[in-house]
Amino acid sequence: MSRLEATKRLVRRWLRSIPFFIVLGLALGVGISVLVIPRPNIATINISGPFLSQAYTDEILDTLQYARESNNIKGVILRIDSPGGGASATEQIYLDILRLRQKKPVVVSIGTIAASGGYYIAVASNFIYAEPTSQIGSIGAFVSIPQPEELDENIGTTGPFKATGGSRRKVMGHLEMVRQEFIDVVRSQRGDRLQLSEEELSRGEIHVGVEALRFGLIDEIGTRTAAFEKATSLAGLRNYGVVEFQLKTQTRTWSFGPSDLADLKSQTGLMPKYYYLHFESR
Amino acid sequence: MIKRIVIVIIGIIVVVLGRGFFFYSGFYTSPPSEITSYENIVVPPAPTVEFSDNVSDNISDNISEEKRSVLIDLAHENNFEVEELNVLMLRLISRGFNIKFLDAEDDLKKELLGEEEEEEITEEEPLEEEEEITQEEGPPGEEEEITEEEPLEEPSEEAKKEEVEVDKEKEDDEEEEEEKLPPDAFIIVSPQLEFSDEDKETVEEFVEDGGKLLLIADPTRQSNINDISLEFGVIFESDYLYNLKENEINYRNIFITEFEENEITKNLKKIVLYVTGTISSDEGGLAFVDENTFSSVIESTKQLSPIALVEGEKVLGVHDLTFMTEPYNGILDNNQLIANIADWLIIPGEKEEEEEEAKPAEKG
Repeated sequence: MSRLEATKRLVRRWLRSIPFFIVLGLALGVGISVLVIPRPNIATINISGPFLSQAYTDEILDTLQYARESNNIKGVILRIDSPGGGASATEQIYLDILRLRQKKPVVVSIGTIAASGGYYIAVASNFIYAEPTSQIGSIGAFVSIPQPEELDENIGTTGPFKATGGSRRKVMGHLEMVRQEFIDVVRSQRGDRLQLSEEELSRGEIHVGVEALRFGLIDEIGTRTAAFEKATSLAGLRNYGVVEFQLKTQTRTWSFGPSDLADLKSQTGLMPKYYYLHFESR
Repeated sequence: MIKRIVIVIIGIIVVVLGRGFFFYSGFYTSPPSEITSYENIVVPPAPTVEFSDNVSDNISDNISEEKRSVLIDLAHENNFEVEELNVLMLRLISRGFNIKFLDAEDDLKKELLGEEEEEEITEEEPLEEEEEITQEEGPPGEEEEITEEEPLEEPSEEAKKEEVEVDKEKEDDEEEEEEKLPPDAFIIVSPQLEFSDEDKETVEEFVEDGGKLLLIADPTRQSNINDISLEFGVIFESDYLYNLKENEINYRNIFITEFEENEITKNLKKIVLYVTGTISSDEGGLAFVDENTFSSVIESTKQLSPIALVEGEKVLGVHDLTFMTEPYNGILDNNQLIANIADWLIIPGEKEEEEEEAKPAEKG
């Protein structure tokens, strides 16, 4: 019997033995489990500065969509440091966070400020953390009232408000509707946790973290670490990886000062523009 | 063989479960979705009220036959457009009043007190001059031919023209005379420039002489109104009033339902002021905010008033201009308030001369 024959026999015996099938099962199990159960990740998305440009808004929305559709991402931490932005942008982000929350837990960690639209999007999450001195609130909106239409014989319109969309009073009426919407959003999302009346919410005040906790505007005082713990707990994770999304178009500054407001005013056209934005008027 | 396959499957399951237990401790259950009920978000329609401006008999009696006027200040970089006073001006015009404007180059004393160089007025004898003109310009000999008894022939075209010219001149002179008359009321809206000491004295003298003074400011407009209002003990506070509970589509558009009984507040049930502020004075508050209306600055329990009438009811302060403008004048009783202000402006105030005269007598 040659040595080759002996080896072949040994292999054949090994392939028929129980231990081989155990190893095979484990090996297959590893391969399949990696495919079936990928390593879960907690994604962090930093929303910083005012979201006024469509490019920035689109990037936030794309990231939220990716987080929702990705099988590897099991929870999301939104790090918010924003005074808000355009009403439309705010509502888009809010609604997308709500959709994301249906599939995965979303935990917000507020940094320096989550005011107006910044807070609007925060309430869509499962849980809100803030630091003791974070600035939270400024619930409300403002509108850039359109310039009166200048009649031009060379431009024909089919109705008196075709160019402006409505009278000045109508714009103020819409602003009131926008206010009601914001209040309803906060009340519906915060539910029994909220300790402020509609009138108190409408004041548009900024509260520091400890105060916001007392009023039920946030859930707990805590930092990003606490947010990770909460997100993993809600997602039911023991071990996880972290994926951090760096948004390219985000603005570096979180405040919206008088010069920014002046820029905004200069852009006022015929149509009104609504903002969920906290600004420093002086 | 089955035994071996089972072993493989068990191996796979063990690893998959192991990995699962390594990473996961449970499953995420999403909270119930709470979506805002957008269909419930509504805005009430504007509470407009039908209004017809009927000047009451009491007011009609006080309107004199001679043409009277109201002077509007435009000399102090006033922060408003004349069109914004259209509604008030129409009310005044319908009451037989003439509207005059004080421009930067005008002399306030001359315009307000009508103080002119009297000599010039007396020297001018327009009627005589007119006669002279007709005598001089008429064709020679024509006068002798025309007698009162004889029926006049059809006047020539030239004569007709002359007559028309004379009439025109008469009218012009009358108008000039009317223009020289001091106004009955003076309206100052959001002046940005300070009044000189002389101007302040002039305005005070005007009020002492029975003239009416309407001071209007608006928290949304830069103004230096207190420079002149302080002369009459009135302060336009640098605040705004707001009501978060009940308002006209915005917290800064406040309703007022509590009024002090007065000519200016007659027939008023509810008005809306569009961004108004407090007016502080020792007394004279005419319209008071309710318990849900607050000042952005003043933390006080006293009732705040954005309208005040002082100085023997001759000086009226109103801390809002918007309610006088279209379309806000048509909301609730705002038109009635504007009409009342117009009525108040045309009724002459009491002169203070008697008091001044009485004082030395008392001393003596």
